[in-house]
Amino acid sequence: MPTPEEELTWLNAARKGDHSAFERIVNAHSRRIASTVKGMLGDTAEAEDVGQEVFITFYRFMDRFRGESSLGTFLTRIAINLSLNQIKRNRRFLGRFGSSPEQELEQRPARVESPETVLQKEKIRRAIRSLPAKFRSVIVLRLIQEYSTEETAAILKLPLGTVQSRLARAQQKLRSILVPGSGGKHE
Amino acid sequence: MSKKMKKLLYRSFDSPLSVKERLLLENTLNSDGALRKERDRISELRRTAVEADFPAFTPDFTRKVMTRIMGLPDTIAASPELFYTSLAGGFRRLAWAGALAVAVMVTLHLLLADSLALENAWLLPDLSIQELLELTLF
Repeated sequence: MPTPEEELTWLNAARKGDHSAFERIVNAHSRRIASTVKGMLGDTAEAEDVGQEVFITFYRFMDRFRGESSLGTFLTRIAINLSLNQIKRNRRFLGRFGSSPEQELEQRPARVESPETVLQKEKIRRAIRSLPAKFRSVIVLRLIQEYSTEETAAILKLPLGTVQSRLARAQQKLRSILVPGSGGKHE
Repeated sequence: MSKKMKKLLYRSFDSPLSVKERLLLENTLNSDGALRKERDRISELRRTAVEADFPAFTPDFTRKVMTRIMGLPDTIAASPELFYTSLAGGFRRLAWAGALAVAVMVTLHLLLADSLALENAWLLPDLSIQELLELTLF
């Protein structure tokens, strides 16, 4: 990962129109953004589009980035907001036509791993995807991206207490999905 | 396993507990097997969630982003959204400057006047409505 100083240099160069500097920013943060949008939307072509949109939105508004948070956190915030918008759009689509584009897209094949690992990971991803969006976002940020609870609250612009209670409920729901009959209620 | 302790247990994974809360949780964990099981299940769940390992974007992701960026208007300032944003910013500055000028003017008038009457603040003539109406008639 680049140092904050390196990022600042790239950012200043990108603001002056240096595309290769912006490309370095994309390369440095695409893994984290992939994890966020795919955690929210699944491993779909739609997630890839939202991922592109994250960097394009940042490019258009990079002058507004004042460095109050790290660049990674700023991009993650954009990724979460765009993913939540996409989920809303899919819900509207689902309401009108009965199936979401997310469900219709073909899943990409997993990388070469043992069948058990692939199955287990897929099971977890499906479980996370089946959570309501408000719980999914806290799980993705806190457990997968490993942001602190405070950072998660700042990214989602929610009070700390709300994030803590959503985390607790999200974990109970996740457990009830992964271990059926474990007692938690799933909405 | 009480609801309160379960809540405390969940919170302990994500935020620091006070000394009192920590002691209470430790003591209850020592005596409550169900709570211990719940702790182990949550630890396992969190470890598993980290392993979800969402895959990276396709290898040509950066190229696609850069191609789309190259297709954007030449200068960032040419974007209509940014133009309107900067226009709004300009108006905001103008409004602040105007408000400041009015405040300075009102303060100055009040300092120079004999009393704190509203007429003095705006340098209005000290006339009654009747007098004002008569003045406009002529």
